[in-house]
Amino acid sequence: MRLGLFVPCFVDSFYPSVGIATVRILEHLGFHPEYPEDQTCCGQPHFNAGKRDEARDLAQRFCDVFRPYDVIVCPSGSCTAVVRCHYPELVDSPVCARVFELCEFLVDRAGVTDLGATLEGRAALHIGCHALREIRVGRATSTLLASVKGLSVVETSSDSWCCGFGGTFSVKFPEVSAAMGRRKLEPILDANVDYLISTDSSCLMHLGGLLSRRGETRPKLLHVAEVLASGLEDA
Amino acid sequence: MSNHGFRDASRAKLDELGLGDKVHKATLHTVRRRDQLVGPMLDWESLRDRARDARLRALDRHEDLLASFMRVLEARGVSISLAKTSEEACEIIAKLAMEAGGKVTKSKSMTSEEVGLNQALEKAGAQVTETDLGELIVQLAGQSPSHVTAPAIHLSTEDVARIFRDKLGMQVPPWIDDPEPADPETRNRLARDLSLTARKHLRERFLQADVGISGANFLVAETGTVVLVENEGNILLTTALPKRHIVLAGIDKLIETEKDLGVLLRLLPVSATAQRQSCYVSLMADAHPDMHVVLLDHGRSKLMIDEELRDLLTCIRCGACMNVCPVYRNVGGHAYGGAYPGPIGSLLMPHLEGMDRFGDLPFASSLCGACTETCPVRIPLHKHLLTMRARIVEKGSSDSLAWPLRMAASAMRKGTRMDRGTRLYPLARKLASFHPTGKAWLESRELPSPAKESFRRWWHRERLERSPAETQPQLEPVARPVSDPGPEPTQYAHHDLLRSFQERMTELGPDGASEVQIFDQASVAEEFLRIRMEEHPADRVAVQGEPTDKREYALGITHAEMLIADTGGVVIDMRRRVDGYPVMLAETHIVVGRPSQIVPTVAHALVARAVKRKSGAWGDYQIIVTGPSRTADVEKVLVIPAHGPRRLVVVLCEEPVDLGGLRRDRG
Repeated sequence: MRLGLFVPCFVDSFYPSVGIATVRILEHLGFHPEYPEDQTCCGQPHFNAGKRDEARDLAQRFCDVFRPYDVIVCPSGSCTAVVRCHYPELVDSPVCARVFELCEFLVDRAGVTDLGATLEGRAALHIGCHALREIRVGRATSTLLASVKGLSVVETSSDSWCCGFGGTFSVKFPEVSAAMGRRKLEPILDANVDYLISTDSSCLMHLGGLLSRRGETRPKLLHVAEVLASGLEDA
Repeated sequence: MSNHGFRDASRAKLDELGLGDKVHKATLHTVRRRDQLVGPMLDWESLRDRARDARLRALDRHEDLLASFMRVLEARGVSISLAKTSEEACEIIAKLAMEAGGKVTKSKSMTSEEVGLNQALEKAGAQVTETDLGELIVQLAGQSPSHVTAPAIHLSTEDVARIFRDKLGMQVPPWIDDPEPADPETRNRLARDLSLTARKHLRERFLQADVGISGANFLVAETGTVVLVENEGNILLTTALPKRHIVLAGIDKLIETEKDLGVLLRLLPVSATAQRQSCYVSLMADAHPDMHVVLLDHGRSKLMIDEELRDLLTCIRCGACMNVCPVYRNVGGHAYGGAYPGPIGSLLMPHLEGMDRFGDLPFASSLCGACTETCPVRIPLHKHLLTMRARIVEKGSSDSLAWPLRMAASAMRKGTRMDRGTRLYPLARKLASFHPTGKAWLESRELPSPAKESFRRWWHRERLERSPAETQPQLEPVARPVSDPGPEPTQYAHHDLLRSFQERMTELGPDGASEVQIFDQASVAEEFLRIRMEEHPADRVAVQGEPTDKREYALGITHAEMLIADTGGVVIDMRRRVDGYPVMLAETHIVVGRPSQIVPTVAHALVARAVKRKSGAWGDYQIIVTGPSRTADVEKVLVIPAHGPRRLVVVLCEEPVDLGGLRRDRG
């Protein structure tokens, strides 16, 4: 079995630590992830902007690059959802069904519910909308986080709300996008948590951008892979 | 393509002080209550499947259903016309309204908003009065509805009080202009006063109207029934008091059978107003002597043959997609600029009115999918938004994003090119504010700091030190979690059903506004009724079966033909609209029924209705009454009464109770 690693383009460029954490987790469990270096972008921005031709080219490319792998793991619910749920509208490839978001891979495929990670503090959890409603990895994510020693995940009234990023939406309608983000953050700030954890770095980029513009230093934003990898380094 | 219609409008709405708070508060309140109702409904998901199936089947069989519906209505003497365009619909209705005298009461109809009916009627010289509280508020304010089931959701109690003060001369407390809001109880009291003011204002209009104009929630082809669902009682009054009744409905409102209606009537109130059942469901299949049905096409038949998007016509206008939409919640309905806002509006408006005006709406979504998740008829709304975007792009559009996306697509053709792109990021970040896209981001957000090294580079460096893949742990077989079908529907015992009926009915009217009385002997039940009657002068009591006038009564007494266990509703059977006066014009409504009439759900009642009507046992006009008349159109605060009775009493006795005899004994 070959396990391919799909690291979304913005994770590669802006949040490499999320990719590295994913590698650490998989290797900790005895997997040998391979990163096909010719991978680029899944084409989600183009697909969501209605540019199907450009999206189709990138989708085709993605399927070619990942064809040799039996299972493909990705630390993003949003990019996973595009490949698995929307690619079938663009390309006909068996690759689409082999892509899994990290948490669902760990819980549903690898049967892992406790990685032995440690992180002290209180956190709010934002499961990205595609992770939550399209590929439905909410349960897997919560299960894994519940096993992290020292971490308590608190519920807030905005847990299931969209952060307002929405890809090109965030720059096409920046005022509404930012307003959505502020509404999302209100209960999280009220909860006075140490961390805001998400399945998706894109949501965190948007929420983090809002927080740093406001000069907020708390909560610290973490991708779920970073949380699950914390404390594993010495293992 | 007007690219900035929504952007400008949304910006203005975001600047409107308190608007987002008001819309959030009201929609979230409804969403929470809806979720509480849906949670314990074991068959909710299967109901959604059945509803989608029923609605799609109606589209497949549209020609047949339309022909059969028209045939049945014509045979009954009801005039029916097809309007291709909005203008045609307005013209037909304006003519009908003016012929009858021009004093129009109107119940809520989004289709009438779609065609601009009020403006057309007023231009023709008619006096138009909106009678739904929310609609009345926006009419008085000179606005349009901002939500399909809660037209005044964007206004606070204080806003409405100011409108009523200015337009109806209502005495309002001075605190409405205080910067700090009053305590919740005081505000709720004001909401109640507002509703009572509307009731008083509209009662005269109802009694004097020449024409009543309604929409329709569903048109049942099988039985030629016009179905209307409401809470306030204004639809009962609009459809029964004026001599002429005009129905305006889209051709998409047709459904095939009463069985389908049973499914849809269980989903609609839960999704629309978070209630098990709305207060009044009117089932009109009577030979009304002056009834006119206008069926509107306005782009619908074109959409019907659109393979990908035809299911937009299965929408039942519950507004649930608006309530859960984070874009809608922040900007409200007016920002969308059309009759239908929110996710469904973003899809319907470009079809009904064209891409030129509404082509930017499909892009005004973060694609969070909350709409798809909540839609009771399972329209994949966010997927359709994507389809619409692709179509709009294909038609040719230019925007500031085209260039960055093209550049990105080109960079993404090779891993090495993407790598070069990443290394340019620190420079691009510095220059971002010079491009509209970068500027849009930077208005309210920082860009992420450049990483020291991309993941790709890290991997490349580390890879050399890694051992090649040999053995890996075994994976679990792919077992996608199967959705739990839930337990089998329970067979209820009779006493369980009766207990459920009692509980559900009494929870509808707090503080004794709903009451159930059960008697073993008819003589005792009759004595109870007689005592109630003697509280009022004889001419203030209306009893079903006796001649009644078009005026207000203190007490109305009717029979029930069925009791619905899961909603606490009662089915009242009548021949003509005037027979409904004891239901709609009384302060207190007493319904007399038998415990053995109980059925589990409204679906059972509707199947029975079809049989009873066929055999001639029942008349052609039924009302399902569920609780006292009510409204929550101001900030979702429940107010009893609206336009109908303020109290509902259900008297149950297995022995036959003789209503006709009550009066004789008294005399």
